[in-house]
Amino acid sequence: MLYFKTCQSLINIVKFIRHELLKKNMDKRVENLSLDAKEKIAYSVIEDVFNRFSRPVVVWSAGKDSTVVLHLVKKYVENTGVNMPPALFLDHGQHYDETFSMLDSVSKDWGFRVVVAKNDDFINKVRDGKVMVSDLNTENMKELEKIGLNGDTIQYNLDSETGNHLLKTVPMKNAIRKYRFDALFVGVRWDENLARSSEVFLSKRNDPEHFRVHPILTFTEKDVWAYIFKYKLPIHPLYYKGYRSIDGKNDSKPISDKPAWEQDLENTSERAGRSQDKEGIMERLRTLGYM
Amino acid sequence: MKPNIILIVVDTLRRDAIQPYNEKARTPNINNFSNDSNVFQDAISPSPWTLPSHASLFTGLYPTEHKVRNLPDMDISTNFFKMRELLRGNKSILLSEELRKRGYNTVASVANPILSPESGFDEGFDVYMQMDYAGINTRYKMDNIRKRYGNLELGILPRIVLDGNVSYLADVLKYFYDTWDNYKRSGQPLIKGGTSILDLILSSSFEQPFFLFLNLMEMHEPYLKSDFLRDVINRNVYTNILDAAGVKNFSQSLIKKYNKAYFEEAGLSDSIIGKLISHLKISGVYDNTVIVLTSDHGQALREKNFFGHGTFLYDEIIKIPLIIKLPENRKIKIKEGYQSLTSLKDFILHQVDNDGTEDTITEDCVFSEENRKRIFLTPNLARFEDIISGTLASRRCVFRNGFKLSVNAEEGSIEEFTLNGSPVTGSEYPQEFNDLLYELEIFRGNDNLKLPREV
Repeated sequence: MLYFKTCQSLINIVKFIRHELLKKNMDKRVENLSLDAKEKIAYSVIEDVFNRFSRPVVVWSAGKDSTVVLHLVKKYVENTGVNMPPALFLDHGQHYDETFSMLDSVSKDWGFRVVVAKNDDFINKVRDGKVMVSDLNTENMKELEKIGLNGDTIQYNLDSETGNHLLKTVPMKNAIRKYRFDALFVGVRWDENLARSSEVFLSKRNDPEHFRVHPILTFTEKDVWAYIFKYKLPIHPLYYKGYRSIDGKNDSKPISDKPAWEQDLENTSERAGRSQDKEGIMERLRTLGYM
Repeated sequence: MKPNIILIVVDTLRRDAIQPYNEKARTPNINNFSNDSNVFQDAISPSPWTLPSHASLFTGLYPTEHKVRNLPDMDISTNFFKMRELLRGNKSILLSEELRKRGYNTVASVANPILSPESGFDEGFDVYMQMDYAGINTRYKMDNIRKRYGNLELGILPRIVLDGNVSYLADVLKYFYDTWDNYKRSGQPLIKGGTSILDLILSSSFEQPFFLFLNLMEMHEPYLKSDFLRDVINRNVYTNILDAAGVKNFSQSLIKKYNKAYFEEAGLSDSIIGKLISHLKISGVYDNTVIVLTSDHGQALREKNFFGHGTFLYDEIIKIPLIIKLPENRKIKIKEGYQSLTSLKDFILHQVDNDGTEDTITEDCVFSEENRKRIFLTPNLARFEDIISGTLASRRCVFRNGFKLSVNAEEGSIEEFTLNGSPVTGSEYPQEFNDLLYELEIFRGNDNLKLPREV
């Protein structure tokens, strides 16, 4: 076990170095490109998807990136007169109240439906911050088998592979199946995480079969804020309090007392306040179907 | 060994025509068969007519998704290749291809002209044969002739002679003769290809595992001998649409005759299926075979002043039978909910890959849709086009928890809101109404359709 852990941390170190080396090149792919041009790229991607898919959906967390994607989609919808697609919200039960009020107000103002995907079975069975594996329904059990978990209990948090998989990926896949979504707009960007740095605009996924669409891959964190101020988009209140990346109450922390956009975006890590990345499990989560 | 798969679509069969769904119906063979099988009580067809429903069956997708939902340019014969493109270009692999990839011997015999080999439904089949009123494999030639001369009426004979197309002349004369011969020999109920299909199956032997797909047309109009020749020759199968559009009203006695004839056809279909099943038992393949008996849509017998199918999403048209026999006559525990033909593909593949006894068909919520705004009309009906188009519209409906909401999505109006088949109002059940509307809104996807307002 110790040997295994040592190997894993060595691999993580190698990956980290590789990332730092690659990052420079990755950033160069869109270096000096204006926000206008990046918006046009995003718009073309969205247009292509609306032309070829019948049931798109925007994965929306009320965070900055997915709100930008939602707004880009809204612009396309307003220009062409097609229906505004619904938004898909992954409710893991640990969201901030501010997140829900933002869901309500933006969906009302912009006129779209929010489809909530939630693993009720798991969340209803939480006692003292954990769930007995034997209490879970067969579907959740099967999912646990798939990711190879053994043990009697699961911690109710998002920063573990199990928690993230059962609370976010599984309900998301179920919603795709149930509502027959064929294209998911996702606010993934090249610069935010090693595991996402080689993502492509349209990427095919199986089980269930659908496409992930990434219109703002080329945006940097700075571009996202520039876009938000350019179009006066609503901003999640926690960004004012120093959060750079927002998810659950227990896995997101403010990393400064300055608003997110006033922090040193280029020389500090955007997701430092998020536990998913510290553990280096992002790549593994993504092979299980996460974004 | 992998189970054989037999998929029997009894075209235009509604539930109450067969005994497992209606004690009064006289279909003893289907009834015996249902004792070995799982009888699903809430199956819904994704479309009220043949083409989109079959495409859903083979792709596992709704018409909105597979797009095979219209005969593009009104003329069936010249546009079949477009359907093949659509079927091929689909994101989903056809059931027939999936089974062929798994080593199945894939064979089909169909009677509905819409499923003729040119339509693209032959993709994935090793052998695909279409039967016709006139007998085996004549239609293929006939379509070439139709493309050139139009409908097969006696009037085209002089033109063929003047053109000096002797081989065409021989083919057309044979077609007329065969059809006439069939007409003379046929009594009531009318045989529309089913017995030829049966003869073919009984005289063939298939290497196992096999996938056999059959489409029987006996339940489909025409129902009266007097309609038979006219409909076959002119392809004038739209009397029902004329009736719905109010151009031509059926007399009460005619309606009675049609209804009687419809249920008589069920008896004929039952005997064809009975013989097929006996044959399977005698050949020793029955036990290790998954047999699915279903329909692509039902038939309205003027319950709501409409005779036929297509156009509307009435219960008589989209509630269909679904009976599935598993290997060793295994039973599955059927869940609460609805079954859509779109789930059948995955269920069959699940049987092939996993031997499952789980109900993977039933869902909380299923849909049905109609998208035609124009239909192909023969020249003699062309003058009614405007009137007929008036009844056509994009329609959507959804079933959930006993409720059904059906809308005309052109006008954004409500056509039906029912609870267990009885009309209710949105003010009585506002929450349920809005929930169904919400499902329709998401199901609508990119289609530019109007939906009613929330209550």
